[in-house]
Amino acid sequence: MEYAVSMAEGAGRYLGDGILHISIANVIIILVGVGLFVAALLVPFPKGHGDAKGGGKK
Amino acid sequence: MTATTVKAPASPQETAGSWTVILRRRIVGLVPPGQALPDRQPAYMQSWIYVFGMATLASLGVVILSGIALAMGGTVWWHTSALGHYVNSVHLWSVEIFFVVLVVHLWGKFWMAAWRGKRGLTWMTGMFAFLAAVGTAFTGYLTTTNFESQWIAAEAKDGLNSIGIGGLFNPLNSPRMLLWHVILLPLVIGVIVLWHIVLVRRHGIVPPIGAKEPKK
Repeated sequence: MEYAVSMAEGAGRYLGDGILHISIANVIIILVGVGLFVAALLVPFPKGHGDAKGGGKK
Repeated sequence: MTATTVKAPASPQETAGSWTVILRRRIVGLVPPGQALPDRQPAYMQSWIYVFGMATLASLGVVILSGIALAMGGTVWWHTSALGHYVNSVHLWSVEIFFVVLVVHLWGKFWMAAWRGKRGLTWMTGMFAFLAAVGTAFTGYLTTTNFESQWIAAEAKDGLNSIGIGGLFNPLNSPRMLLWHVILLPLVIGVIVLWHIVLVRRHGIVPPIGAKEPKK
């Protein structure tokens, strides 16, 4: 068991608190997802070519 | 040269009962005219949140193409050659991108209650595609057969045994997991995703809450 734990520890860096145990890589991926979601809602979408009023079918 | 007479094609009334006619009508009627590949969309679609469905589809395409290359090259190729390593990494990172954009697509659709307007089946096919993708990713982890995958397989085996299905789906059986990963689950995903896309084209893009949907 000790050998297994030491092998697992070598696989990456982890955050842990009680029953929670998550790798730094997974935390980064989750934060990227949340950031993309917020950006998708806030960043204005570029207007299309030849569509001066900025709309398709109303 | 003698003139030959060509028999006129049968009228629609004569072939109405033909299975090819019935099937053709069903296929043509799957989506409204012009909506299979539309060139215009409602104005409310001008938001980045509507991009993530197509981003998911595009990344799935890269996942499938790189997976086909890995299957053709074989284990030794992707473990020992530089090109094999590269394609292996493309497969891994396209999966990572696939899940990130898939989850953003899921969040977007959840918060705009995308099941409105008779789109319940569209929502459910998306959910089942997500579950099938999780299973495919899981069997992919088991296919790498390194220490981490062996650890995951052993833990999963205990979990599956505890609910009584360890005999049906044994994560410690590597060849079986490889077949699930490269054949069965990709087939399931392919069928569900195709069904999902047809339903999206059939019912149109879901409007934001409060927006008026254009007449079809």
